[in-house]
Amino acid sequence: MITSLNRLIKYDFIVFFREPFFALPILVLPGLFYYIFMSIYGIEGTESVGQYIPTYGLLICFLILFFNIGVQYVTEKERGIHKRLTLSSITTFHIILTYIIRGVVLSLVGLTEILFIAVFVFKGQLTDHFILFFLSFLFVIAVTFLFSLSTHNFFKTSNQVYPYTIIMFQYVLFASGLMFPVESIPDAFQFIVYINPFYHMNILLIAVWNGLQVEWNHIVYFAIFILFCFGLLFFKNRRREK
Amino acid sequence: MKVKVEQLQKHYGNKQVLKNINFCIEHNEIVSIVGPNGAGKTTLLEILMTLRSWDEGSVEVMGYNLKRESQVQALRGEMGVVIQEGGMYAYLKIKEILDLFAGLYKVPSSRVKEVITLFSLSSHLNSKYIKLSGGWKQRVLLAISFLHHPTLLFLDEPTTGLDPKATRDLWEIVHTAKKRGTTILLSTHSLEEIDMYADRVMMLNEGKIVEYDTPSTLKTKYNCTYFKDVYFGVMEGRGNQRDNVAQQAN
Repeated sequence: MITSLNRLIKYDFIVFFREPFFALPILVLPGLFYYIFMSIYGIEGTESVGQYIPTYGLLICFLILFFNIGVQYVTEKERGIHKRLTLSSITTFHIILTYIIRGVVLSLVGLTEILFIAVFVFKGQLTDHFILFFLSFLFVIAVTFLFSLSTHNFFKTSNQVYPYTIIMFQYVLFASGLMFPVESIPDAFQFIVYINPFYHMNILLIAVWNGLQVEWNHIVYFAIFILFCFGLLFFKNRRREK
Repeated sequence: MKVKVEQLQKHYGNKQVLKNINFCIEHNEIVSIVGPNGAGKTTLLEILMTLRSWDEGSVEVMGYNLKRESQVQALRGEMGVVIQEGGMYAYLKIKEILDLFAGLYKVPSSRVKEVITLFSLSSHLNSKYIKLSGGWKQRVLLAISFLHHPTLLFLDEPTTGLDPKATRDLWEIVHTAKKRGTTILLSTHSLEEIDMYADRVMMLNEGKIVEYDTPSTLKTKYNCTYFKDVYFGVMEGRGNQRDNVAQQAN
């Protein structure tokens, strides 16, 4: 089974680097944007360089796990690739495991890229709580993957999933605090920010990076959100069985 | 006996798509399933391929009981399949696709070379799957299904979208496989192909088997020269065939 899984992981990575618009926007562009952003606003050698590392790390995590793996999950299902793979010696669990491994590896590669630019190009300072930050980043990867899988699971074709992905992309960019300040959004629309999981992930990572305590409402949100995602998976599985 | 199905029933919601299906497939024969769209061909094939559950009845494939998950996994490693959707990574090269499935089926590289020769794939090994024509894609999918020496092969509409030459080539490969001891169950819309190549034909209509015999026996039974006349006679009850069918029924 290990041989089969290794072979599947190997070709999963090859497909990622070969499919157009997969590797370039996901691994190169966030690093480039970080470089441009820091060139404009960052003051070399100051804390401001490090302040945006959690946010750009989260952006890469979102692009890989939600944008890339989510859409790929639907298109591969649509093309019958999953069906064909499970008619050999592997199961759906192995396919999901392959996605998880790629998601973790590429998210960490993306984070390393941002750290590299921050430290070696802009002489930025890293956090004193790096191990805790690293563990929090792994938690964020897990939650993003769960969110991606549980929602993309409802789509059967790429035509169905693209509108969802485009809307989610804008929602995450504009209403999570990743790219724009959300405090200035009118009060009536603040709930849109508050139900956005990436808003809470961003706050979590920034708080841990700065050594601050994470407020209880974010912890409660994560607990409810994780239960909600598992509920969606359970609901979809029940429907499939029927 | 390769396949044994008894009292098989399948519903999608309130709609019954398979109604008390009973049949056996013996070793080393080519069996074609035909019927109009919605007759239940793909559902039946997908049940036999272990892709779908069913409501009532028993299904045994190569001696495996498909109600048991451990036996399903064992069967999947032994049978060969070509499914309707194609199911392949678009941007992998043909040699990479063969290497991937060789790993999944745990076959040595020497076997991959044999399959490349058998399916004349050497000229396309460095081509990406997305760049291939429909005929070559189908040939690759068939090659994958042969990698692990399956003794039972399921093909769901394998000639759909193929030009006449590619269709002929595919049937030659299927026949070669049969000569080597493989049992083949396939669904098709091409009635001429059944006349030429199938040992037995299963005619499905509205979820029921309406005929299951050799093409020559059915032609004799319905007094037709070509199998397609038998088909339209049974399915639609048209013209002379309708009378023949009616006489047979009486």
